[in-house]
Amino acid sequence: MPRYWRSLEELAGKKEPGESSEEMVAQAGGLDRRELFKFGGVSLALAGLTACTRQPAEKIVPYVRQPEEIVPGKPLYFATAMTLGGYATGLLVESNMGRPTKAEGNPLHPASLGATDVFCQAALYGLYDPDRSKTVTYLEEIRSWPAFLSAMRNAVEKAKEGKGRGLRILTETVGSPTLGAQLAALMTDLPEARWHQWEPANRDNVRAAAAAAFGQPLDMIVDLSKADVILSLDSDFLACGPGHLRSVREFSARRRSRERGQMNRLYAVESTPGVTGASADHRLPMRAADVEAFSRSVASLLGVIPAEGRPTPFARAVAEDLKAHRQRSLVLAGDGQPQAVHALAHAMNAALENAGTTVSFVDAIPARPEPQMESFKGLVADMESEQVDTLVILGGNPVFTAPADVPFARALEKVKLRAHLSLYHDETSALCHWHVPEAHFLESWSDARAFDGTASIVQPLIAPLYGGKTAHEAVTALTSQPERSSHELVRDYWKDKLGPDFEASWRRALHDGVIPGTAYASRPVKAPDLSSITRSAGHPAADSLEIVFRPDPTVHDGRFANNAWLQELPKPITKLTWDNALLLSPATARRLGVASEDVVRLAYRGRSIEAPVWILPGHAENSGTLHFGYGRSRAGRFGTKAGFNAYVLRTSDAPAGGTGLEIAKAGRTYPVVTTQHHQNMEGRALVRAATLDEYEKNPKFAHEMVEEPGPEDSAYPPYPAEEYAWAMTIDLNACTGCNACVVACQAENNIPSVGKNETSRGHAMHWIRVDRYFEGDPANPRAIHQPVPCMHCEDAPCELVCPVGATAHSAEGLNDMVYNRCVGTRYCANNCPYKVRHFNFFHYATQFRAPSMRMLANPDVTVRWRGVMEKCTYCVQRINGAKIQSEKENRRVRDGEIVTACQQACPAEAIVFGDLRDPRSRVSKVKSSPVNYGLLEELGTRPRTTYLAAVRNPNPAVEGAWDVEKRS
Amino acid sequence: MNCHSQIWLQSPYLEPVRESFRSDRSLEWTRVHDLPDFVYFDHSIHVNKGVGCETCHGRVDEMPLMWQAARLQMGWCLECHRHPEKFIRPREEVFTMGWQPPEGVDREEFGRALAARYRLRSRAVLESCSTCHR
Repeated sequence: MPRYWRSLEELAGKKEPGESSEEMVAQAGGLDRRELFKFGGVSLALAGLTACTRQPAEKIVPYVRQPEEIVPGKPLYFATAMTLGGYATGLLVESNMGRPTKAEGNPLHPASLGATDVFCQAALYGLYDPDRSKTVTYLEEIRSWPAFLSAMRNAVEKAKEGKGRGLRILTETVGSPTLGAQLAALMTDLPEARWHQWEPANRDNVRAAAAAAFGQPLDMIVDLSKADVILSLDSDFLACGPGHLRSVREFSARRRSRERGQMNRLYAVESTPGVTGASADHRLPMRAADVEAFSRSVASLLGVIPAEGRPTPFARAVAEDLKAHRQRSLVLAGDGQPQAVHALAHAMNAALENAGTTVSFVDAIPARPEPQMESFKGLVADMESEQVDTLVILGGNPVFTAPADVPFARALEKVKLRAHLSLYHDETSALCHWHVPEAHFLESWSDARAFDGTASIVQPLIAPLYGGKTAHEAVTALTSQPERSSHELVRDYWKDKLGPDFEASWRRALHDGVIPGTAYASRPVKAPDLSSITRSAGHPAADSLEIVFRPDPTVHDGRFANNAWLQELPKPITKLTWDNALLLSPATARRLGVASEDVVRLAYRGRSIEAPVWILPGHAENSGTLHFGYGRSRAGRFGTKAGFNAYVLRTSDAPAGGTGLEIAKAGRTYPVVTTQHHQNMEGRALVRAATLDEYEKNPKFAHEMVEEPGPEDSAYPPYPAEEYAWAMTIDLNACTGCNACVVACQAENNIPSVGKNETSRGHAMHWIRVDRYFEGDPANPRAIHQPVPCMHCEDAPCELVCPVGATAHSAEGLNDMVYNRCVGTRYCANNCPYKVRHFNFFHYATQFRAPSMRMLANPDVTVRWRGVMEKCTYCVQRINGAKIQSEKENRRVRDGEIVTACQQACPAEAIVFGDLRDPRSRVSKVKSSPVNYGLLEELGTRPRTTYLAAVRNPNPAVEGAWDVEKRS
Repeated sequence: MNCHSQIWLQSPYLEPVRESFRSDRSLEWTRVHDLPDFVYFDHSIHVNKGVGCETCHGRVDEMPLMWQAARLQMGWCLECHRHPEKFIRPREEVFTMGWQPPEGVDREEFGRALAARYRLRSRAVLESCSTCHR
């Protein structure tokens, strides 16, 4: 059996901190015996006071006029859409008595198909974040919206004399057709005014390559359901980008089958280990700067460009495999790669005749696609030369996100009137005269387009909590038209576009969350212009250290920095929380003489910052990754001062980074918190995997890795049969480790965040965690993700040791947790082999007491208090809801009627939940698979949650089958 | 207003209700039957399985002011979850105050027949913790 390991310390057999009892005592703080008794006495005295409470009197406040559709206790769902980077994901948001509490994907929406990513799941936290900006301010003093309107109108009146000269608007990527039309109309009225767009995670390279190849900046749409062989050139297409949820769905559908011919094959070349590389059959770590040379090498083997150099065996194998799958292959380049790599990818896809099957092209989705870096630099140059009188910034945080060599903040001082519309009073607001609180998308009317052009109406779930305004309303403030609501503006835009019966179509569009027939027609493209394949200047020296800038996997470009759910979410692969760090490969770190948590001074292109090092197996050699989005100075209680600001090093000529990084030890350490060390399970067959060949030879390989107990090995009687037996399966072949399930569970089950300090002590409360196991050479290990919720063991070790009966088995096989009985002995957690029980060491749930945060809680789930154990319940509130409904209708619960929160969010459909008593249920069928196995089943726990072992599809032509070369 | 837009239009007792309707301000009722927040109770399924209003709320028709008739403690809930045959009645009688089982039949026999007809869940399911606690 291959040896899996979770951290380098574990691989080396070193003990982890906090493992020995002496260390644990040392951590408990130096209380001596006398002090301990003193505290003990006080708590005993106080305990008597709380024992006999009566519930406080409660008031019932009914509606005077009951709205027809609201039944207290029955949630309503509304379709809307969330936009990130100009591309929409359709959502269905649950509303309990008028307060939105949970976001789910909209199955009708092409970018969601019912799934969500972590950002969509955490949007609710963003809505209720108590640190959101609440009032209009002028020079930090409270003002009213009408005062802002008159100030803007005066400025615009003045600008009118020069046809708008001196008036500039700065937005993020605008995906809303209505806002795009509004701004275009404003530019027509005031021809000298200018509209600029800037966001740090933009797609300039992608657009430029498409424009050069096809003569227009088309957007590429990929169809992974038809792709047999995929080559990723530093593209994390399973984690981010337009339509990534759909890509995961299509990719994973091919992986789940485990059938030859059905299973696709993914080659990933990447610098920073990402979820795409972890899902790959062959992964090659490589400096981001070397990917271009690799791409040229593969392209030359495909005959796209003249041969150059000697291709590596890996490049040959990839090229041969691609050639053998003409029309059914796909080459993808990452957003961080230069234009040249994208051009090569287009040319390779064309040479492989993939157009029309795996790739197609549509008009660019954003309202006005443009090179944002150029646009932003132009704006700043004009600001510096005092050509800008009025700057209206609609969303975004350019003072924080501007490239280091574009002095936006300094130039801002030269603008006479500057206004900022934003969710938070942030770094940019602090330097603007006016600040206007922005309405959250769940409070707004707007519209948005998916990656394929499909339009959705964004409808509010709740009136703006703090009188926030939308960008639509802010733009009308710049016109001489009377003030209009975004609702009217959006309706007006669609009035003549929805067909003859507008009201009916409008209602349909709101109900469905998509407007039928709005997907863009696919554009036939000529063969890409090969002359567009440029060569990036200068080949980087092989030993030059590279820095890679990428948007952070959880706080993105910094906009989610104050979202505690996202901050505490262990990032894919690294499992870091609450911080970013310079990620280095073990060998590079050794060469540089640095260890994890060592603070280093990073010097790059004349600028420097300090950041801690984190050693990440599988990272490319001579390369370091620093995610941008951290190091905010005005984010709020959670985001301010968390992490290290990569923007300080990020320049406009190298937004994705480049070689020439210098590192010097700063001589101190900084504690970086990871959940990787928590709940370590030593050297057992936890994740099981095989190659397709091995699987075909021995489909039951997963069962031979441990000695499975038979029914006769248990002293307990067999489990009694009731009408239902709930169970779950998790497919390790489908799971990409994206974490959507973790945040979905947190949102559904009122799980508190505990903060960096508590997380460092292993107190994170996530009911489902995604374990990541490495196997093989630390320079390029294989990684497998394993989501671990409660196993709901039939013979549950936790239940036997509870002295008060607070955890007990339900008749349908749930391992119930009864909070009001729990006295907090924590015996159950000690006896749980899976470490899925979480204890409220402090009153973490106080975060639900802030007036806005109260509205966030799911009313169907108890909010737990201090001293209480908690864990996954299989979403028992959803089970009970469905059971009650079925009984009222005098039928059984239908298969698929109960969907747990983790299952619903999962884009890979890796999680299946249902009734084992029904042999035709999906979960029963999945469990009959030969690769189905129970985690630690050798202990005789008889877990109801089981796993499907991973089966990889490596190319036998690549040496060592599953092993890829160490270095190309 | 609901029913009281039709009946007892002039009753001085209902002046607060009418005032609420006129002023568009909600009446604040004091909750009499208040279960702890970690208990999840669904009226619809109880009514559907033949638990009469009276069984939990008492003879509301004889209460000039509402009071809590039952203990509402877990032991009291479990009495019925364990022995529903002693308490359930025909669905069409759930609103009837002072309902009695037909004369001459055994109460529990009658209840068991109803339990079978309404497909009440087994005792093991009804007394599982997660039936009420989540």
